[in-house]
Amino acid sequence: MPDLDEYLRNELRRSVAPVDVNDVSSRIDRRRTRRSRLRKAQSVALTVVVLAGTIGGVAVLSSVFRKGSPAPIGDTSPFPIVPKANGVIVAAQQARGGPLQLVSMNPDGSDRQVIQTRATGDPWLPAWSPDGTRLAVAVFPDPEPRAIWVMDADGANAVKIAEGDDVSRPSWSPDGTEIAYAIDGKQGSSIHIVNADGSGDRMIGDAIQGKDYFSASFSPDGTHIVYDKGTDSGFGIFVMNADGSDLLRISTGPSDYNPSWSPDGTRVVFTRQEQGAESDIYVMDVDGSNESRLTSNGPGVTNLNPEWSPDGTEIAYVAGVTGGPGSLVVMNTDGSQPVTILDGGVIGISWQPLTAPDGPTDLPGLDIGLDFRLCRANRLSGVDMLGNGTAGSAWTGVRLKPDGSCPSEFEGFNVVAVDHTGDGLADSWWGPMQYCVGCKPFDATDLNGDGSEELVVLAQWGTTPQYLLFSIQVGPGKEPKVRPILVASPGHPQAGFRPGEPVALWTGGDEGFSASVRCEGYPGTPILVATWSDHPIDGPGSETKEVHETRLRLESDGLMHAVDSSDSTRPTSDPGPATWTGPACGVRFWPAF
Amino acid sequence: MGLIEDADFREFLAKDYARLVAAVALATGSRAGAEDAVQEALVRAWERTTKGEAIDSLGAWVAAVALNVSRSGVRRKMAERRARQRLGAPPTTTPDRSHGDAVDIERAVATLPRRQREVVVLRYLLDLNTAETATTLRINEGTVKSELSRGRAALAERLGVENMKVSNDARP
Repeated sequence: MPDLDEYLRNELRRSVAPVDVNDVSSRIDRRRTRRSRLRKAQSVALTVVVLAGTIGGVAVLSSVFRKGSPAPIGDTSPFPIVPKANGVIVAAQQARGGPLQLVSMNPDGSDRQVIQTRATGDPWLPAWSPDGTRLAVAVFPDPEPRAIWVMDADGANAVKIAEGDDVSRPSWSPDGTEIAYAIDGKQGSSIHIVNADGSGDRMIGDAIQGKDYFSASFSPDGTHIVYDKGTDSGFGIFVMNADGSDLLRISTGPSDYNPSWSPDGTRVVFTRQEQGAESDIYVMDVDGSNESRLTSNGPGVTNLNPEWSPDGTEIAYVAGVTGGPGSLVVMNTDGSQPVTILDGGVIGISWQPLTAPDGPTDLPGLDIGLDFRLCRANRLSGVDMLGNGTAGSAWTGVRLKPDGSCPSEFEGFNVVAVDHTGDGLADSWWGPMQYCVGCKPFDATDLNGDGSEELVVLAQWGTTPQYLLFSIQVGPGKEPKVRPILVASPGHPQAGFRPGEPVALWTGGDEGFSASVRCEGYPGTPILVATWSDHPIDGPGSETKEVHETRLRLESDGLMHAVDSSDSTRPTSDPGPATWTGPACGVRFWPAF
Repeated sequence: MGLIEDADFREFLAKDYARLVAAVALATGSRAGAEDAVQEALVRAWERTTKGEAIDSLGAWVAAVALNVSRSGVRRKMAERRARQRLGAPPTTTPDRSHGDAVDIERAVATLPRRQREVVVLRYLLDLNTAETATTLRINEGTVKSELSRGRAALAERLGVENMKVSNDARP
């Protein structure tokens, strides 16, 4: 008996018409050439616009974050790992025999400024708070005991929060409320956590005798602490849960110390003591695998105190001599291109994290408080979709797969998420978006004059970008949800506005096609006017083009109504609607590429 | 060198282009716009590769982008009109070209719901497996299997071959 699958396969293959490859290739090449010319023309226009200063730049947060699961160990993630940008570097420096002082500088070494503080003693080991507004500093007075002080970024309002023998460099919890540190006491050496105001000091885990803890640092998601301590062979690096349980040694060398987390929590950079007076910077995965050496400066050079840049692209360290103070060096995360930005006398360093600007990030597994993580995420801040004055955020992104891998925008489950309470975490999401190649939250504006903003998402990248509109819908007794704005009946199907479908606005131009959006009545009673024209580029009928215009109003029912529409046929020579669109209802629609 | 100049690309055109156009035409019910949609997808693939971005499976990628382009209201309208102008054919939403007996299978496929049409042509014509079909259509694998089963049964009935053996297409 014949097989049905095989029968269908053969029948369908018989439906395939032969093609002339040369003809097809030639047509694709012409299309590509036209596209390329159009893009160049648009690039020129874009440059003019940018130079005119009419478009806000979007800073691209570059990243070398490793792809893979962002969760270092364990399953919980109390604090979202969010992208950060690089601020200034603060170094404890003793210049020309003077006192040790805190010096801040840009990452290229420029704009050095001394931070004055009332903390008494030498400020050896600084640490920036996660929001980059405060410093915790291990201060070594003479006579001791040493202490940890917390102060503003400019050194003001310094408060001592902990005191004891050999207090270590402090480490802030991701939410900035607690500080971890190592200390020697009567019971031995131990790791403590204290509230940032000095209250609630408590020991984590057990104190050890005979060997010392040297430092303790919260993981970027706050679930773990990496620390270094003395071992039988020298020093070792360990990880434990933040409550002190489940200790695990992750370093393999006889003398490894100075661990510092990568911002995504997947890697640890550290110092390895080589033979004699030589130490170098190494990096490894958080489980101790994939170890690699980043510096190799030979005997007598002691590279110490590595710290990852907040954006994850660079590592700063102290290049000393025979264990003494040294120069502040910044290099790429693979050890390439080391640049000395502060010469000599440097002991402790810390790199200021800043809130990342809007824009894309490659952070694998961005946690914005949803049941899943996002990759290929793109953020827009300052969005007020409830109209209550809250500066929320909107994101587009792709859901991370269960195995931790990041699918392409094309293959993945693309979502739009919105934080409408302003706490930095998403409150609702919608997906999947069908078209989301190069998509991003583009802008937010009040499209119906009710005081709340609607979200404009650039849904399709290219010379004819497509924009989708979203609003927050609040049903009786239900949580606010972000949802696409749909077309009300009867719409204007000839222009692509079909009842029940999401409103899709087009701008720009392609072969034979041009579209624009303009606005009337904004900000009172806005009406979006969407226009597009289409004409054949060759063959019969190329002498005329169709022009469609639709006047759209977002009504109180949450639907977009076509309040007026027109369809006409015009000569191709008629200029028709422009491919460029200026500000429309507070949004600068434009061909984006 | 861009993809468009590569010998590999010409080989792809020679080997896969016709099948892709046929698949998109069957899936969307519009052969007129299918060629335009596939060409648009190929240009986007070219742009992507010239930026250094990799495409693992060009066939699956182009099929999915072409299907997306075809589903898009305005673009579909543009593509259909251009294609009709080139072909000198009257406006139509049904397959407007046939090749002998193949018209029967085309007509039969055209009666299926859109999702079933897409699954059927991706599986039988483009030889994508269940996982690839699911990825291309952004649906889960269970849906692929159920839609394929329904589509196969419907096609068998409409083509009058209900008594053929069903191997259940056990490929993953």
